Amino acid sequence: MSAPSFIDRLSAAHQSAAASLPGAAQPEVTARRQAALDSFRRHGLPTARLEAWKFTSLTGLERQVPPQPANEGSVDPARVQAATLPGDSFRLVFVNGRFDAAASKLAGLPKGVRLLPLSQAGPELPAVLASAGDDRATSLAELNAAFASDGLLLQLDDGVALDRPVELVAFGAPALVNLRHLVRLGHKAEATLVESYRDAGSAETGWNNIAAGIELAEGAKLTHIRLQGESAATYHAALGRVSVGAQARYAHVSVQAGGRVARHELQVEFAGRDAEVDIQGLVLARGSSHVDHTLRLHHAVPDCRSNQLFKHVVDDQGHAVFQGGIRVAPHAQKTDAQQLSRTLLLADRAQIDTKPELEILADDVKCSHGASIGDVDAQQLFYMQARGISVAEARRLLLSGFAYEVVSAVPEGALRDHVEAFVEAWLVQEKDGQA
Amino acid sequence: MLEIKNLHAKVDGKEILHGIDLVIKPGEIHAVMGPNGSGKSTLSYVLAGRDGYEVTEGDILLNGQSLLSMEPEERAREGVFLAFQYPVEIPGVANATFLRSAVNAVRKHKGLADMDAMTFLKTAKAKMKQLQMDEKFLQRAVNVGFSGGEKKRNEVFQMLMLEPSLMILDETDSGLDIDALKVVAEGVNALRSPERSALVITHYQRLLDYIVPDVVHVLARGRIIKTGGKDLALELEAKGYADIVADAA
Repeated sequence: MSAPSFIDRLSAAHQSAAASLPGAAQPEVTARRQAALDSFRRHGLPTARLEAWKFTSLTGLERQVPPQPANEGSVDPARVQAATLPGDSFRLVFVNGRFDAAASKLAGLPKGVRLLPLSQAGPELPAVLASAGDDRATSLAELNAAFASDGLLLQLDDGVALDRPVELVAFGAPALVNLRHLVRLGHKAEATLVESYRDAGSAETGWNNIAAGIELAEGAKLTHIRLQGESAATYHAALGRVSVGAQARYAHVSVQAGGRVARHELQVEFAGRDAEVDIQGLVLARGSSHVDHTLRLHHAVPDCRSNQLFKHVVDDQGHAVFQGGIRVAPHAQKTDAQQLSRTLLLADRAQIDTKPELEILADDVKCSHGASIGDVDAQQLFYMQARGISVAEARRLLLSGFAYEVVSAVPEGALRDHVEAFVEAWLVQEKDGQA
Repeated sequence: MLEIKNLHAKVDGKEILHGIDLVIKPGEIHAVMGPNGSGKSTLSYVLAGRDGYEVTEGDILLNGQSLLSMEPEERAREGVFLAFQYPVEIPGVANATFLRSAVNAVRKHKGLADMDAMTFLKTAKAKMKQLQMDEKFLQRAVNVGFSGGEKKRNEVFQMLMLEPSLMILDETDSGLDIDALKVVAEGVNALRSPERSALVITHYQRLLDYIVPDVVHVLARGRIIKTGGKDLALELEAKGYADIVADAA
């Protein structure tokens, strides 16, 4: 008899873990988790045969990660401190897929705000665990639903504007971690969410499998910053699904600066007219890091605007992937959808796959896309050298300037400083002495 | 101060400078004038050490030391400053960040401690006032969205901050109206000292009304064809390059 497969071992792990997962006492939840596991078993891990996974392979994962949920763990408080905002915020910290109450800050929530870890949620669980699809492209989200051990739940009532940012800070483990989040903003509600995945300091291989749902009601506004800075041994796969109501605004900045293989897939659906979505991404990849942003924006209704700007800095044997999908439905007239991908390849073996995918079925629209790939500009470099600045320092300044376009999409103040520090921390490690 | 000896230089495999000899003593201002395509900008880039500007013969000595084996940043730290004809835009990098890096690189080379942020800001603001520049230019990205005149003023501002020993002004007057020209010239004149020299490269005599040279050279087809006092600039203005070039031929 051959050894049990990766998927069989995951299924076995689920049998032992099921009783301790949130909602284990709710039959509706346990049934949903079993259905999600069955779906994952049917489809397996996504492969390069899928268009959406054309450039990103998870094949190393089966060999390198134990197919079981992470045990409890702890993280050096200094790492938590470094990863969190200095000022006032509401904060949920997760370590090894479990809520860390001591490191979190939930006191003083205003009226109309429900913010809690998934492990403390009850009636919301069926909505949180709702299926993203029953196919190979969404199989990881189903695996996540089967195993989700914790996550963030944020609900704002109509008209509520949170004046402090909500922080979600997660540290991975050398095993499988499944966090699942749900954010729901009511009519004209407003919030800022900072979602961070950080290096826990372990050299062992881990796997973060994340799923997030965001629902914005009419006129709601969400600023969503996402920072991924995990270790060079970590696999990170996230699927975010965003529904944007009429006149709502979703502003997203995603910075990915770590991971062995890291992928953030974002599916955005315009659900009402006159809504606006601005998505900006920054990839910083060195070593053999493989970092993927895959987007699918669906302009399903007329009169909406979307903008995508993705910038990539790739060094060594790093590999960046950008897939920017835009679909404009036949009746979605007056759509304005813009997309731009810009890349600096700093080494001979650095790679980018950048692929616009526009499917435009309406005729009265403004859509554009563009991509540029190059090295640091020689004229700019010389100009700085002519002022006495070393090549290494000049390159760092130029990379920082390149990144700043995305950084500056973050609201000014403590939040932008936080993102800028995250980016600079990567840049200062940039090696010296390149010609 | 600066000694250029039989300088030959190639760009894209084509020789542009065919043997230039030029000596600038400490405290002197020399003007190099010439028609378009005479090699003026090539000379300035060769002095600054730009990639692709290959010296095939001769030497350039700054205070007796050859610049040829030095990288552009080493030359800058030794006191060479090129005010660019076309200042380069650097999106995303604040003027203040850029300039503070430059100031501290030069200070480090001189064995001085870094200039702290407060002192830098105070010094920068004083120099900007001198040049009638708005302080907001410190926070703006280097040269991005600056008008032609603002870019040139920014070059002179950097020069005031770095206090070089050799100032090379490459067509700093182009794109400037008369008021801006005066301000820029005053900035350069403020730096004049017995230890500091300048090479003013220009097509027109106009700038030399305000930055008065000690010596004027005429450059044509990669050679200096005539050298004289400041009156030579006036003569050029009156007669045009064609006559002088023809006389020398």
